[in-house]
Amino acid sequence: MYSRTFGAATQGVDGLIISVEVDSANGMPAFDIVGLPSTAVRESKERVRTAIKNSGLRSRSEKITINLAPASVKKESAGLDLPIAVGLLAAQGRLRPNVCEEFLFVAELSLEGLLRPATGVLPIAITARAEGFKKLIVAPENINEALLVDGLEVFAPKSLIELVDFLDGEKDLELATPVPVDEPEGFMELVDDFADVQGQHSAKRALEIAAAGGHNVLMVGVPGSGKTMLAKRMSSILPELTREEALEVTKIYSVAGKLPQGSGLVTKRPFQNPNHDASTAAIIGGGSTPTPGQVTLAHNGVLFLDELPEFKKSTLEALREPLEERQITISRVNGTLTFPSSMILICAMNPCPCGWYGDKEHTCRCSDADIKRYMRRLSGPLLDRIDIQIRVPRVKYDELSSKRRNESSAVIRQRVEAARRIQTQRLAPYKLFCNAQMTHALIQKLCVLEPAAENLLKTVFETKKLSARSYDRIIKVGRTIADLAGGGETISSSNIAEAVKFRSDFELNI
Amino acid sequence: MSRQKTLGKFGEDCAAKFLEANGYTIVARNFRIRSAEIDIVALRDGVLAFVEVKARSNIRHGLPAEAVNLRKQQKIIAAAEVFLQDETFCDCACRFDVIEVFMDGERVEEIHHIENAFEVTREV
Repeated sequence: MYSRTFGAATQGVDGLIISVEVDSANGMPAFDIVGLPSTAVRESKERVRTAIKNSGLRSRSEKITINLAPASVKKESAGLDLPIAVGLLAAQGRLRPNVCEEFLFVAELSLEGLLRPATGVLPIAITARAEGFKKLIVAPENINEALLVDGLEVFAPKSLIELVDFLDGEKDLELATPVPVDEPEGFMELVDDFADVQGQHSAKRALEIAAAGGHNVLMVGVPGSGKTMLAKRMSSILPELTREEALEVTKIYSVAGKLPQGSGLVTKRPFQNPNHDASTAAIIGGGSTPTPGQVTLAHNGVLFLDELPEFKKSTLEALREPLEERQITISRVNGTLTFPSSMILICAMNPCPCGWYGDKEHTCRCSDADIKRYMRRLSGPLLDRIDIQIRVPRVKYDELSSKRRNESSAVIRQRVEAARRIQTQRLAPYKLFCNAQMTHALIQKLCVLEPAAENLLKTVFETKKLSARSYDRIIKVGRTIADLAGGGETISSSNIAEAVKFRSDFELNI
Repeated sequence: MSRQKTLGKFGEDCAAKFLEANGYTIVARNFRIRSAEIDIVALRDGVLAFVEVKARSNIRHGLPAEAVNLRKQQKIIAAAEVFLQDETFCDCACRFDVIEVFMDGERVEEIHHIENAFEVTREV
């Protein structure tokens, strides 16, 4: 007999509904899965059979053929176990086929017959609602994730037999309700706060501007000056995730299998800190069926690259597309996928291989050629995409030992949020939310310079021989500085002067 | 007849009696095609069982069922495909069984029937 059920897999960061067709008929006993299954899906044959047997149900040994449609897409998700099991029971007459077709099943099966959580439940639930499904069956661990989507009836049976009784109409299942997430006990979370950083006022100011306008930052400084410390505190001054942003982040985490078990919406901004040894595929995303990389995992958050010149040159150059387009397109044999990658890039580096070039109290041991070679690893086009470039000098003893309380992250964050509100209002008609996202045309339209500022920029442009892109970036940073100051519609010459300071400082040394 | 062949024949006789005692009808014994043989073909409740019998007098060389390896399975499957050409049986449900016969000298110690021991697999 023939039956059909619905399951789902993921494609990029989106869900894809898979129609699972099962035919069970007399003939040489066999169990074949067709329709481009991955190894995990092909192995589901053993899990499904054993789970059915250990649930106290019987499946007859017949010629069983399972087709996963659409046939052209590679199916990676072990969450197809459940629709295959239900389909098989329906095809062999144990369940009524028309009942099974109302549901979308997403769960892995254990040999014992228990439901296990699957990856990508959130994007699948979003697609399910869009395609008109009303009822979703998931494992209990996935309840919180599935409930993030309104308008779906979610059921979470513990085991296959509970589900079969429910589909038979013998026992009722309650609609799933959010499960409280246990916080780990006896664990004090140390929150990184800007109050811990002594001195470094100009660096803090630069990070505040970066957070307010979504600009990328490069910090150059001697070893131990606090670059890493500063970068790690960046997420504490970024505005709270909006629900929309949080959904995007949760979707990515869900597909990447990085969502902590049982959790729902991700509420913290991501902070990704890959080691400089990471491969290009790990940073950008890759694999024969593309999976998201660090730039995507940092979406709506911060990507921090410490020791920037130590990264492979090809890896750094590959960052150009995600930085410019705020998304990354990966083409592989099994298809071309686009992942979002709208992040703030923060980089840190030493000014030379020994680290002391430009420091007043230390002697730099590097030759001119050494320094040139070190700097050459960073290409002009990459540096051009980093709006804010600052030097982080050594901290003075007086500053370090000072007991003065510094401004806390919470205070800085309030200013950042105020500046973001102004930007959101201004940019809402264009579906953008921060200054760094403005295109050249938008800059022309929305950034009005006072005559004095105009003159200043002209002088800088000509003396420093800036590129057209640099020109745009200075205006963008200037716009953010004006927004932080309270948001007059015009940009003053002092705003531009500060923006230029964050820009030229490093360029002079290359 | 060699000792192994005698043992094999004896095991098959025991298995056939065992099946009949359990309500099966023996449809054929030692069904041969050129390269393969099915020891017993038995029918019960409309399901045809192709049975491979393995008898062992000790388990120093592993369990009897372990001797039915992939190559042997494929031979049995090939023979079964020919058997099912017969129009009496072509619409039957079928399965592949293994019967292990454990011997202690001349005496049958235990008979172990593994239903559905294997199935048709395709090379991936």
